Amino acid sequence: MNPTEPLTNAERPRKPGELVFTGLLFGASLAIAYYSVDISGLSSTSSPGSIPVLAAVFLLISSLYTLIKTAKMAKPAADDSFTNLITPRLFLLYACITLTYILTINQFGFLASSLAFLFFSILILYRHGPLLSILISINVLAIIYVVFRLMFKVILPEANIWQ
Amino acid sequence: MSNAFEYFSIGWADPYLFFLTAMGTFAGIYVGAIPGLSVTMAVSILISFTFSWDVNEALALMAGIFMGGVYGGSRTAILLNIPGAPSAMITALDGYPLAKKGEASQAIGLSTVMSFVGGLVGIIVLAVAAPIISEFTLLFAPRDYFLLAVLGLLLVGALSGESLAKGIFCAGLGVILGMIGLDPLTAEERFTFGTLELTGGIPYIAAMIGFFGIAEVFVQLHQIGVEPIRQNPGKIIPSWSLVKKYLPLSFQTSGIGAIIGALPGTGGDIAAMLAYDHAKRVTPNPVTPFGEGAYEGLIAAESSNNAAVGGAYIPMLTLGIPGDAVTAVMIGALFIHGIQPGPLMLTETPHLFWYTVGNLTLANLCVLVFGLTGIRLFSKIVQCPKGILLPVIIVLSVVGTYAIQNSVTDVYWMFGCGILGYFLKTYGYQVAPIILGIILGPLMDVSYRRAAISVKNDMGELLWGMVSNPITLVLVMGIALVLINKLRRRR
Repeated sequence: MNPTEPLTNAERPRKPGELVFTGLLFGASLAIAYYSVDISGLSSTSSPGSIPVLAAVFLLISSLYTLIKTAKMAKPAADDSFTNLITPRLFLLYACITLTYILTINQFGFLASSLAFLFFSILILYRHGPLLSILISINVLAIIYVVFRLMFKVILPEANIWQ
Repeated sequence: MSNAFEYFSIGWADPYLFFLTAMGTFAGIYVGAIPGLSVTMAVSILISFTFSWDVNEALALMAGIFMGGVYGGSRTAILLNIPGAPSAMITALDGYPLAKKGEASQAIGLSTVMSFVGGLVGIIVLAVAAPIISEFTLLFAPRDYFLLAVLGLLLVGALSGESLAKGIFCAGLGVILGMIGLDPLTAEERFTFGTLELTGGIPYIAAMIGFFGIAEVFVQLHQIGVEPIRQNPGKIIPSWSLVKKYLPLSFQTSGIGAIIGALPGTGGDIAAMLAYDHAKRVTPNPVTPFGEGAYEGLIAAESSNNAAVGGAYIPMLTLGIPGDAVTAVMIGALFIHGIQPGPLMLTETPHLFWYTVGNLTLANLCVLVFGLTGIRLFSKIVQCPKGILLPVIIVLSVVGTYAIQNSVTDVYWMFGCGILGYFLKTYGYQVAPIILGIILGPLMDVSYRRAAISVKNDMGELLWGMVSNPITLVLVMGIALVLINKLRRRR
């Protein structure tokens, strides 16, 4: 099952983790409501907190409604688990690789980080061996660098690990 | 009028501007065609690159990408049943069945010509109606801008996804994200939690790239093993008799597209849905049933979503309110170049308006030319394996986000929005309302508070103003109608 396939509420059972997620959104709405009121209290209708409070009210109502509706939906199928359907290994692995990439981009610079990222990503996702992965990575990065850095003069992060 | 023509022809006469528009259209067609890359993402990435450019150059490039990208989404919708853009979802309903019958080339040719017709109608509506609308909008008070912002948010929240409540939630979330930072009227901190990084707010471009680009990459991971279907496109230019036969339908649906595009908060996808519905109603006995390869369905979708481009420029230029997600990004670009779109634009900077009309016309012509050529090359690029495409999208997203303020913090925000966007999409929420909330939220906030301050916080007087002023009353009734229609449909 593709977890992102669009189905109406009426058709589908609850997806794994959906109740928790909608619960978290409701909790976040409560927090937003608290901080919205905290901006300037409810002192005036033209205060800096007035629209945030209004938005928070809509967030609370819509998230509570969604939470109740989600709770009433049929439970997920027995063989559909959160880790298999929503966060499969490939998603977790790729999210970690991407996070590592952006966390290291300042230290190692755009070129080195991006080359490593492209290489490992293409190796894992395309699965045609390390040689092809590095060749594709180098070519793609070269095109990106020429177009954006040299043609469009876009500033890219420099390595500061040597500083 | 002679000045208008002079400004209109700037983009045509200057070789560099001509080149930028053509290149933008060409790039837009391919960006719009590739699933996972969206026009909104392409424009939002490119905005950051054009910071140091002359405003005319930036506008030329973005107009080309917009026009090309909206059209380009139809390519993969027809060839691979994977819409390259949300507005091409309806195109796939009849385009892909035609491709399965071996009529891919006919379908692409017809969609290209009808996209050109639609684009032209949208531009004519922009050129003719925008000056009228701009005079009218000078009468707008802050409360009217507030109601416009609410209308924009309502339309997107109500027309998104499987659940109205989820759409409203996302719009509300976007409003809150747009409030982060310093209050523009009093400089009071909102949702900063005492951190310096949040004082400047979350750049909406970073949020946009995260919610649209990064989230989509993670969604596509679930389809990493799906092989694209190979097509063999042949001759694609449709016969004149075929074009003439469907021209009336194309004009009708283009009109729908231009009007829908002009409404703040709506775009080509909604225009395409309404146009498809119209085509079904006016064609009771099609040669081929709708959904099985009806030319009428294909024409309605493509004419309307390209007409919506010109329509979307109307509220953007005359009201300073985005017509859709792409024009929301373009407003940001105009601000960065020191231009404030709005009612005074036509009086203070008329050259920019007519220059934009000229750009769009040129871009529309380029859609016709590029659309009818290069299909074989296009097929090869479109079939690029996802295993290569997805990492490239992430690198491009990082480049675009970093370029906003040369700050890696923005890249972190982009990633965070991407992860949140992935879970939101997985659980049936739409991310487009979030971006419009980020754009329209601040407008709603400032307009409302100015309106409230002008009546010394007397809510009674504010409400009286909403029913006693004709313009405000029309807007209030418009909002009420949208709500009533939505509630009726949901029963």
